[in-house]
Amino acid sequence: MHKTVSGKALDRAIEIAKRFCSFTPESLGYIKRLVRNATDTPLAQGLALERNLFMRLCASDQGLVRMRSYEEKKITEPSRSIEV
Amino acid sequence: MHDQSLIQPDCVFNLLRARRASKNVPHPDPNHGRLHEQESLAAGVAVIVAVRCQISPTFQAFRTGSLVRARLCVSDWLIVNCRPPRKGIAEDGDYLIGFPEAELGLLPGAGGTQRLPRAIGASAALMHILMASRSIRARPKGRASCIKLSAARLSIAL
Repeated sequence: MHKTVSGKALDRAIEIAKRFCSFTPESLGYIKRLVRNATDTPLAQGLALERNLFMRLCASDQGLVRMRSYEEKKITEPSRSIEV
Repeated sequence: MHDQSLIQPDCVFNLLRARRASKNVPHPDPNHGRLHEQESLAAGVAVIVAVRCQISPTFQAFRTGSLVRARLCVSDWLIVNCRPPRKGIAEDGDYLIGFPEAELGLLPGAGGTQRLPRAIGASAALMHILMASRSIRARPKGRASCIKLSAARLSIAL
């Protein structure tokens, strides 16, 4: 991921790293793997792998806990906005 | 690399496991599921935003766990999940959109990790999935060529 920031780059890098730490390691790893391989693999093959990994995460203990927390509105409030 | 033959047994097994695990933890409010559904429909629950417009009637809405989502599953459409910033949904205005899956320990399914990199590149896709999952403020005539579907249409689909 490449990003240009105003101000101290190190502070922003630490902020990004902290955000990544809030994700589950499996989710982060799968996302990076899928996105980086997306342009090198056929779409059908990529979708197949995505389905498989998605279902694996859905059944994980951490995924279930976080989905329940979402339903209980524990992590629904956005903390930052980007205008497009 | 996985192929099609490896997917089905895992998917079925994991889906059953997930459903079983969910049933083992009853919600304290007995009407919770029903109220959640009604509230979601009333609020419009999601606005579908598409980049790279190629209109197709294919529409699929589904529900995974407790997260209500709506997607257009068309190859040339790029879909992100979103929710209105407040209750009630308007035809014009700003909306909070993004990919909440990463925060939930999931990944953007239904092609979210495959079509987005093809459309805008891997680096930008990672930024949107990992960094902008909290919220994106989208304007009706923004650069993203947002297409909004009304709450009524979503209700029919859901």
